[in-house]
Order: sequence, then structure tokens, then C-alpha cells
Amino acid sequence: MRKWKAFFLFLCCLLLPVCSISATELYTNEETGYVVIIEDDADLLTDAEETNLIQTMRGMTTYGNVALKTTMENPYSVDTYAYNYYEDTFGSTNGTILLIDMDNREICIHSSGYNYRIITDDYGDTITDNIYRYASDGDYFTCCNKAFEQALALLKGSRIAQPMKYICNALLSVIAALLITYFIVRQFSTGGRVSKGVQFSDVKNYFALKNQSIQKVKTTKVYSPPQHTSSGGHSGGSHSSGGHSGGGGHSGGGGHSGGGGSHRF
Amino acid sequence: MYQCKNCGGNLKYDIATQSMHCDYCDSSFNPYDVTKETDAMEDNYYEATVFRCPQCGAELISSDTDATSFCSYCGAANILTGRISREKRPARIIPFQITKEQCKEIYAKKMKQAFFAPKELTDPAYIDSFRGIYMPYWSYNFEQNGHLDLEGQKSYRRGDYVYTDYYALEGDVNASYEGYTFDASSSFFDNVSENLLPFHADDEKEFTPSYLSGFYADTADIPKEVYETDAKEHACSVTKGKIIAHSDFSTYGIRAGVERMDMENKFPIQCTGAQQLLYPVWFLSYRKNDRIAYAAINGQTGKLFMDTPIDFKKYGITTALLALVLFIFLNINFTFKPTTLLFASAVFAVISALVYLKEIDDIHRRNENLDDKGLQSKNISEADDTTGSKKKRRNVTLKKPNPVTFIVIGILVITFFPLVIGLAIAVVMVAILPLMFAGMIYLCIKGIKMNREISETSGPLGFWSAMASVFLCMVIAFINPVDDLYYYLGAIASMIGVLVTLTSIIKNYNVLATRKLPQFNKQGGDDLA
Repeated sequence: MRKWKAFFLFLCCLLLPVCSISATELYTNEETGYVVIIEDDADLLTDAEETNLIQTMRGMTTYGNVALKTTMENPYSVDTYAYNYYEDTFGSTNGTILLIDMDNREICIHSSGYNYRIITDDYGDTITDNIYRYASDGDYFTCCNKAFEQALALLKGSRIAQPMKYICNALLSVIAALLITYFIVRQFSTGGRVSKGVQFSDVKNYFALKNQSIQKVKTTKVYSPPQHTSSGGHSGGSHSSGGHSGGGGHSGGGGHSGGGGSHRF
Repeated sequence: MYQCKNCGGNLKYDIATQSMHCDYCDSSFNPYDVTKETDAMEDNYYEATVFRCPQCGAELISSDTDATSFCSYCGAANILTGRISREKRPARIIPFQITKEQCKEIYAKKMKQAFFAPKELTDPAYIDSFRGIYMPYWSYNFEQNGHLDLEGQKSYRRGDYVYTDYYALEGDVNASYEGYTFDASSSFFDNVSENLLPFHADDEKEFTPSYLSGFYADTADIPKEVYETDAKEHACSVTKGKIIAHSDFSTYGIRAGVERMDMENKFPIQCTGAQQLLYPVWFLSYRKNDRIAYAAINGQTGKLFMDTPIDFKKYGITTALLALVLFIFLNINFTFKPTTLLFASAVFAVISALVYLKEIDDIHRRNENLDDKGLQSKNISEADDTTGSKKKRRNVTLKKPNPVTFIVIGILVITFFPLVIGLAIAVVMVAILPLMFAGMIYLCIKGIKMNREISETSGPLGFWSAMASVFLCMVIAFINPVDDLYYYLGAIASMIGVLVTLTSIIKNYNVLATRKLPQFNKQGGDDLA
């Protein structure tokens, strides 16, 4: 068993440099060691746009790695693809990626580690909600640039605009409050019917069962061996590892823990 | 009027001392020692003044001849017309145990909890109009006897085998019940009288008219047969429970057998007596425009019942404060996706439409007194008399609870269960759409029918705005546009629709919490016994 463990660790050590940062690094923050990567496989940006984008993305390397990935082919969901890409590119380190999936026509922001604590699923959704229109219009540079700007703003502790959130939350709050207050009023109004038990609680009653007889009529016998159960036994036949769970969050054996938001365009 | 033997002053029944008291010379007398000539026991009748309200037709008996200035049932400030009448003597009476001061304290304490109640309900002058009324009740006694034969069984294990012993269980059941009480006046609504029960028979006294001095009594006009079936059904269910719990048989697994048993045939139940009683009630009415609300307090135990309308201003302030707290909570904890928001607004629209319909249904039932068996039986009887029909009196069966209640629960469960287990919202929407659509058609048909029936409510806008909201959400979900704006606008429009519905629901609440001005056609209790 120990031999297998040692072999596994050795294999991990061999694979680690291959797995991590296999894509082209366009900038490395010398203080933090975090990198900027752009893999524009769908060829959505010009060289000049990529150069401009790097300037925006550089700011994020203070907090973690940052990558832009575009793809023309994705057989999976956008969340799964983003998770796998992040895992392959950055492993378990801090970072954020923006994925533009031209196959499913979806954009996705995926973060991990410290970045995920700041750019939560909700914020991921907010950012993609704010930028998807640029992608719809084919303005991919502005789309990416705005995404990284807003992500950086969050990492710096600033706020991003969420006007619809406030409008909708206000309406939802009023509706919920009206309903709750109404149910409270109905609950505490004394106009309901009372149970028969309460209504007749003062009825005097007398009950007697006389001349009882209990006669055994017959006996049946059914073969039914007891079923043994043991607490230390094996249970279940499934496991999860490195899997993807919907809603932007991921958890699995050995994989990074992260999530984000996505949007069609 | 009962005259004091010492000074000739007017004697009134004094609750604190439970005696007839003279305010002039401070003398007290046993209620059975003071009688008028007209109190004599001839033919079980006594003479009293019956006051009749010219507006609603309610009648109140008094042993005094003083004119009364307002009607407790319709709130009309009229001088009630009095006439001397021979009234059937009730068998027994529970004299008032709770004084008017105690009654007012009980009411005031309750009003402190009724946060949304209008401030007029706490006005001391209004509270002072509590009136002591003896309400007529029917009290039934039953006997139930029969031979019990049941199949019982016991199972046990020996090795790899399960043995089951079957038994024949037999016995003779003797049961008796005393004191099933139901109100005997059509002016005393069933839901008020039931809420004041129980009265404790220990304080019952033989009736003498002097107990009425200083108080009023309602006249009985509901035949005793009306509630007999209800009392019998309850007695049968108690007998069933006693058999199941009986120590000799309870270990033989007899519950299912007893539950299936036809009690009426197996153990015939006989009514061994139905007496008319007078029970004490402090009664107060609050009239606003064409609606009236009642507060009633059990004059023996102090148990309170009240219709509680709401003050819209207080309601609005509370809602605003709660909404603020919820707004902060939502902003801190949640950011809803547009699709989730649309779905949530559709769910709220469905809930509010169902609540609206349930409320309208409740108002309809209350306006028509559909849950008041006494009034229903009286109306049927009067209708029969009017048409000259000689049909046998129908046995009134009350409608079962409205299916809307079950639909509300069903849709809530179906709607929220998938959310709880974390299924994707899109999948939920696809699954729920056909259900919502079917529900909408049902609700539309029901809504049209109900709104036509009730005139006091705020009109059909409340219902239609919720329905339009659901429809809008369904259309957007079906089109499934890429642009979030459609979802947001749909959700906002839908939520505004829901707000309109909820506003109607709250406006209608005061119709539900009050009653139509009553119209009684009292025939008096003489002809009932």
C-alpha cells in the first residue's frame, strides 16, 4: 500500500508542471507569481485588442491568475468546460477565467480560491449579466474588458452596478412582506372554527365494556428469516471525484473548489 | 321589576355576590326567594318583555320593562319596541360569573395583542357598550349500547418463523354522554357560539326569571333536531376511541377494524334528553357602514371571540418595515438570476390568485351563512313554509372545506419541492408550466363565477391582474429570449400585478373579518319546545 502511495505521489510530481500553466503566459506578476493567459482559439480578438486586454488583466494578477479562453467547440456544458479548463491551467491556485463558448454561445466567469471568495456565484452572474450584450453584438473586446474591469473592481473591494437587483429585490420584499403580514393577520384572527375536541371538552361521558371474552381462533405460521444488518458494511456503489455540480459550484476529490456565473448571448 | 323586600327598590342580579342586590338599601337576597306573580311555574312559562329591533328583527328578552336603546346584533341605535310575552321556561341557567369590569379587562388585554385592529375598537365608550345576554343553548344527552365483536391478532417470532394468533374479541358496550351543547338562537352565529364553548355544567342552576334581572336573554328559534346528528356523530367517534384504547383489547391490533365499524348500526345511539339552557355571554358589536363585527365573551369562563377588522394604516406601516428588513436581507444574501426572478414572480402570482379566491370563497360562505347550520335550517324551514311545501325537513349537511385549500397546498408542494432538492430552474419551469396552465384555466372559471356573486369586494381586478401576471411569465418562459431585459421587465410587470392582487386581498380582508348586517325573522321560542 505504501509503495502505491509513493508511486502516486511521484506521478503527481511528474504531471504537476505539465498540468499547471501549460498555456502561453503573456504576463507574469513578479511579486505574486500569478500570470495572465489569453487563449483565443475562436479568434475573436485582434492582436491589438489582446494587447489592450492584457493591460486590464494585469491588475488582477495581484490577487491570482487570470485567463481568457475562447473556443469554437465544447461538447460539455459551459460550466464544466470552464471548471476543467481552470483545473488544467491553474490547478488549485487563486484565479479567475473568462470563457467565451462560441459553440453554445455562452459566456462564463469561473473563479477559484481567494478570487472565488470575492467573485462569488452571485457576482459571477451579475458580471455576465452586465456584459453579455456586448458579446451578442459581436464586440468581444468590450465584453472581455468590462468583465475583467468589474472582476478587478470587486477584488479591489469596490462595488459594481446591480440596478435590476435592487429594483427586483424591492418588489420581491414588498410582495413577501404583504403576504407574510396577511398570513399573520389571518393566523391570529379568532374568527375560525374550533375543533370538536375543544367544543365538547366538557361533555361528561361514561364508557364500560362488560362481559369481555377473548377466544383464540387460529394461528398461522409464516417462514420469514430475520434479515441481518451490519453497521460496518459497505454501502453504496457510487463516488464522486473531480465532478461538476450545477449552479456554478464544484467540489470533488483533488479538484479545485470554485464557481462563477454564466450567460447566453 | 323585582322589588326589594326592605325598601321597594329595584333588585338586580349581582354577579360578584351571586345574589339579588338592592342598590338603594344594600340588601341582598337569594334569587329563588324573590319572585313576581308572573314567574309562577304554570305550564312551564314565565312572563317577560320581548324587545324587537325594527331594523334587523332580532329579539331580546328582559324581565324588566325598561326600553333598551340599541340593538346588540345590528348595532342600530333605536329604541327597541317591547311587548309582554309568555316565554318558554328554560330548564337550567348558568348565572354570569364574569363581571362587566372583568369582561372589559379581558377584552382590553386581547386588544393589546390585536395590533392591526382599528383604534375605535379600544375606545372606552365603545367598550362600555358590552351587554350581558343569556344565550339559549340546546343540551343533549345520549346513551349508546350494543354488542361488540371484533377480530384481533398478535404476532411474534420464533426462529425463522413469524406466528400470528387470531382472536375473536367480544363484549357489551355501555356508553352515555351528557351535555352536548349547541346554540339555539339563529341570531347567535354558530362560529361565535362554538368559539365560546365549553361552558361548565357545574355552575348550572335551576332557572328562575330573577337571574335575568339586569340582563337580557336571546330567544330560542332553532329546533332541537338540527344539531342532534352532529352530537351523535361526535359521541360515536368518542365511543370508537374508547373501544380502541380499552386496556383489555388495545394490544390486539383492533384499530383498523374499529375504524371501519358502522357505529350507528352496531351501537344504536339514543337521545335521552334535550334541554334548553341559558348560558351567559357578554356581547359587543362594532358597526361600520353596512358591515358589523362582534366580540363575545363567555360570561362563565372569560373565553373571548372577536371579529377583528384591520386598520389599513397600521397594516401599511408594518408591511413597509417588514419589507425594508426583507430588502436588506435579500440584498445581502441573494442575487437572483432573471429566470429565477421570473419564476418567483409567477409563483407569487399563483399564490396570490389562490389566496384571493380562497378569501372570496370565505366571504361568500360567511355572507350566505353557509357554515351556520342553525341559520341554514331556519332558512330552509322558512322557505318551505313560504312555498307551502309539506316536505319533510331536510337534514342540513354543511359543505366540506373548499378544494381551493388543497390546491394551494398541492401547488406549493409541487412548486417548491423541486427547488428544495436543487433541480435546475429551467427544468422546474418546464415541468410546472402545464400544471400552471391547467390551474389557470380552473382558477379563471372559478374567479369569474365568484366575483359575480359578491358585491362588497373590490372587484375582479385583483384576480385578473394575478392571472395576467402568470400568463405573462408563462409566455416569456416559453419564448425563452436571450436578452435579460425581457425577463426583468416580465418579472417587474408580473410583480406589479401581484401587488395589485395583494392590495385587493387586504382591502377585502375587512369584508371577511366583518359580517353583513343581519336580517332575522324571529318567531319566538314558544313554538319550539
